[in-house]
Amino acid sequence: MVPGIASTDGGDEPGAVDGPVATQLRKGVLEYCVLALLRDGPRYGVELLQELGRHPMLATSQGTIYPLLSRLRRAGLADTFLRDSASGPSRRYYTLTEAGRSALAEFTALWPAFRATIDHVLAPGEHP
Amino acid sequence: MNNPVDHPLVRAHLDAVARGTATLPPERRRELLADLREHIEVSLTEVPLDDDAVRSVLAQLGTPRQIAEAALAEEGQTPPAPESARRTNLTLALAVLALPVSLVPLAGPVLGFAAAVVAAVRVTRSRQWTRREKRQAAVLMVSPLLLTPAITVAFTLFSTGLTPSALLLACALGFCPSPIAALRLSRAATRVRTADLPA
Repeated sequence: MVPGIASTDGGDEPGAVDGPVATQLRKGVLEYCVLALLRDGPRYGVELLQELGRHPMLATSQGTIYPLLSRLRRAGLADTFLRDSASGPSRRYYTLTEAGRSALAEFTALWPAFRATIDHVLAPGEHP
Repeated sequence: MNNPVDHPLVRAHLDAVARGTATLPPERRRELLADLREHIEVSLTEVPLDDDAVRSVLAQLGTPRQIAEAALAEEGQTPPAPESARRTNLTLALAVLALPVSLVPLAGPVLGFAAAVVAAVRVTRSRQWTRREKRQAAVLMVSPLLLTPAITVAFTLFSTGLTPSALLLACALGFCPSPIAALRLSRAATRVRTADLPA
């Protein structure tokens, strides 16, 4: 499971996951979610995007993920290789590098405290 | 049709992405288009290829504008904001005329300087050109200030001396870079204006 999205599937307000707030929130976490989806092994682009599309809160226009994947590759967090396919063209697979793994570990370690802080600040009542 | 990327709808979509990402480094742009092509190809191998399937894949891919904006944002660029042809032409006319006008006796230098300042402000503020395009244009626009005296000196030293016709020729040659700069800016502006991506 990707950290932090467990309780966000199926927003109760239609269209809310497409709103500017959701878009803004996605910006910071999407790349770590992509890294998390690669944690258990290489995936090709379409496969990765289908997986991402299963979580409405993370879903965004598929084409906008490719520039992000390109940046992850250039930053050395992900790597790509081509593999032939039984049907259709050969596919570009994305895989985590060691640097990608440690970036994901760092995010995973930081996230619970981050989430708790936001929850705390958002909760009504006094904040000492 | 054998290859889905040859489908007219796919071509139109990818062409629009290409137009919207003209300011990306060429390598980045090629990579994006190759990624999108592969995505479409792979997505359409698993379903029968008809117009509805193509439309559905393209809808999930996102509009050319969404894709182009995401790609520009990764490079720290904001999407260019087009300006009208009239406004652009006025800006470029001021920039090109500044030098020749300043040669007019009496009021010329003041008017020429004013035109140069106004043009510089308008180009700097405009969001239809990238920083790189502006920088290149600025270098070309300023170069006649060095180039023209250099050519004049060359004529004096290596030719028949500085006759009036030689001086005129020196100015004609020396001023060349500014219309070139204006032409480049004009082309870039037209590209932004006509890209007009579907939202």
